Amino acid sequence: MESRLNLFASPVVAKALGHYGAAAPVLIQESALPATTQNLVMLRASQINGDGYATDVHGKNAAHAGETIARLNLVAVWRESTVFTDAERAALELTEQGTRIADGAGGITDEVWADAAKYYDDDQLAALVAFIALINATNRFAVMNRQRGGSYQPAK
Amino acid sequence: MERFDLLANELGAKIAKRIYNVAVLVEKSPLPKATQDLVMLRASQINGCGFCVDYHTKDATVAGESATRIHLVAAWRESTVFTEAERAALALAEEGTRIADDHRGVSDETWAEVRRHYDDDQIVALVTLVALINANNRLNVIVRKPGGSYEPGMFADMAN
Repeated sequence: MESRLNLFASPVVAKALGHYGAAAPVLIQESALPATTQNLVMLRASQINGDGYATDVHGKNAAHAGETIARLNLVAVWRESTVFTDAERAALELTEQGTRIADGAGGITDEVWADAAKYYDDDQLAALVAFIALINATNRFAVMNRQRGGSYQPAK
Repeated sequence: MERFDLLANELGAKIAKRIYNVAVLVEKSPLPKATQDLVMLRASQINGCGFCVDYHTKDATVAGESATRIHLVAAWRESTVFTEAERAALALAEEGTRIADDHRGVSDETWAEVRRHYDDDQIVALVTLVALINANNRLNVIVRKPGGSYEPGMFADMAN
């Protein structure tokens, strides 16, 4: 199925998306947040938001980077799993609360923030917050535009 | 990590055996095995059952399911890799799992799609499977049985 709209057909939006797209590699390549944690965060937010395209991209990128299938398969139920470190669990918890901020959800609790701050320094925390915000925006681009997952191929 | 070992208790083991035998009946039904795995995986994801997700992703992999399809079950609605029949089963699995207060149960549209793709025997198997996996999700989440260490085939002799 085709996506609903070609966002890049609008020159203004194409220009804006160019800047947006340039932000991600800065975070991915230059932040001190471990790459494996980055992938877990992006995958979990994409699952919650039902973004097939990003789930496809980040699942395959993580596998390509050497993440195990068992861990990838358990990201959706990380809370009831034994395969994630305490630091990863803190990042996943922040991801879930930061993704589910809609009315009535209660936002980010002090406990969750304190737990994240226990495992990550300020640079890493800033990167974590930026990743969560960006992936949630990306998820909305894809879901609103009905860009479906299934055919992504990781770069060789 | 696990709060309580249900299988270590005599009554618990007896009940587990009965449940397992119902699952075997469903497994042998004309509902495609690949569809059964998708349904069990999606319900287990929604209910946050780590043990069940570990179990059913590993079983599906052994049965030949692709990693791409397994990864996209959580976002199946926005994916291209599932058939219309599988999408109908997944919609039923989601609506049949999210029946708690403030949801509206299984819609007529979803039921009509299920009817269109499956015959009566398959529908019996599908409804039973959705009910059963929801029960199993709760058995494991309540006692906090975590996922990560399942080995395919480890419960094979439970039916006897």
